[in-house]
Amino acid sequence: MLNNSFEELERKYNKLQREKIFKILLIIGTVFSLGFFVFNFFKKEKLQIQEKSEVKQTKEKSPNLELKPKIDLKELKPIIEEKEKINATKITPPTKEEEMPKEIFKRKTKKIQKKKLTDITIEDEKTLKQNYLLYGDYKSAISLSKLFLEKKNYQKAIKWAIRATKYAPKNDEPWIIYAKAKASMGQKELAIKALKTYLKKHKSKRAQELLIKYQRGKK
Amino acid sequence: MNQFDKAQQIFNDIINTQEYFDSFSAERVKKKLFKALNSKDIFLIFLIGNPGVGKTFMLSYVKEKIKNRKNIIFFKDPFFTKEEFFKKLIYKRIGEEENYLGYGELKERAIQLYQNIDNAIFIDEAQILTDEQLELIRILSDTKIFKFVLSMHYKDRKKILKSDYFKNRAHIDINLEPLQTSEIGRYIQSKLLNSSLGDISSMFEDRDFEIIAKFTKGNFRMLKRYMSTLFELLSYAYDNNLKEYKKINKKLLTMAAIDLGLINVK
Repeated sequence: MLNNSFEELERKYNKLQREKIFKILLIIGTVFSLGFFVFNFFKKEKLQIQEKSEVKQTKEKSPNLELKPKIDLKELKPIIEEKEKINATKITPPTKEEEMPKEIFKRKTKKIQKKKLTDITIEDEKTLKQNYLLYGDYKSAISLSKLFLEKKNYQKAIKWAIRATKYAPKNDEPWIIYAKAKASMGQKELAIKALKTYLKKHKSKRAQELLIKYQRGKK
Repeated sequence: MNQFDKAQQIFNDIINTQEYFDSFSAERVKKKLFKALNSKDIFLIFLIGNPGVGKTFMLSYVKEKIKNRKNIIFFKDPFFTKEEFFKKLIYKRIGEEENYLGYGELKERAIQLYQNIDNAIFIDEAQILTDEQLELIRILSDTKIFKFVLSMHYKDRKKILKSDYFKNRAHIDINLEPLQTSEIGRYIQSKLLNSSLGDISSMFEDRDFEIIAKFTKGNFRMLKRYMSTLFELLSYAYDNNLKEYKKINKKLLTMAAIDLGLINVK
């Protein structure tokens, strides 16, 4: 004698099958999410390692300055983040070329006068930093260096001067700014040492004059 | 009555010693039991196995086989007093009840009657023997006049053997194992074929036996109940012309297991 009716057994069997399917789906879902989580985790780890190695590489690539001040990684982090943000918002130019105008118009705008360094505002500082982050160019770096020297923010002037040397190692300008900043901070000996290092390999009248000036001043 | 009803009947849980199934384990146990029963040194034999594995059947079968050569006294359960025990021994020997004798006299009479008689006392479900009964068995086995075969569940064996009654007594353990998957198939087929149900027998495939083995775990009693339920379901499907169940399939096999509570579904 059956304990359940035939129909009841059929119902229970169907329920059992549904439960089995649900369990299988649950297992698949769990495995999939776990895999996704692990994949993302390792991806993130890889990115972090890459970032670290990039920072390390840029450090290694910088000129062999004996008096090179250390670049603080903590200071670099917000810059990198800012760079990433700008990259994200950067709009790619249209690939299609614009048509040439049929008539030639005279330029109506006035010539933009070059701003003096003293006229550079905070906005300019931001623009220069953005430019540097976008293009990583010498011009932005040296301009920032000059700006901070004018503002008597010698630490930052030194920092940007060092960065500028990466792009134009032969140029005397960053070395001169570096020396001026060090001298202004009362570290004339370091300024002289830096100028001498530069002049060992390169020729520069301005650097030479500054070196003589500091050497005399020291005496 | 359709063919499936007939098939259901042959799997009813009734002990019929004519239907001995020669599984590997049963053959081994049978051989060991006969050897131990003929031994002059062993007076305690433990037949061990899980519930439903076929211990009672084995005792009944062995009793049937040797009843002409030995005096077998079979207690199908251990619910007896010491007096009842000896009364049964005496009755078995002389065919008369000794109702007027006291315990001591009964004991002496039984020992006297069995002194030179080849005998064996089978006690089924021995795991529920009381301490008093165990003590009695120990004393009687020590006389080397009575030979005991105690059948019990596997998990209780250690407990009884560790007790002071049998700690240092010579004994033999005989384990009865469940059926193997291949044996389950052979058992079902032989039962059906012996009852001229070849058509039903051919409905089973090897994978069906594997599923049945998984559900019943080779337990004889459970296997019989399971087969009985399965044929009841098939009979119902046949009578109601349910086409889905004309052949044995996984659904039907699972439904039988659900009905017996082998799978818990609410």
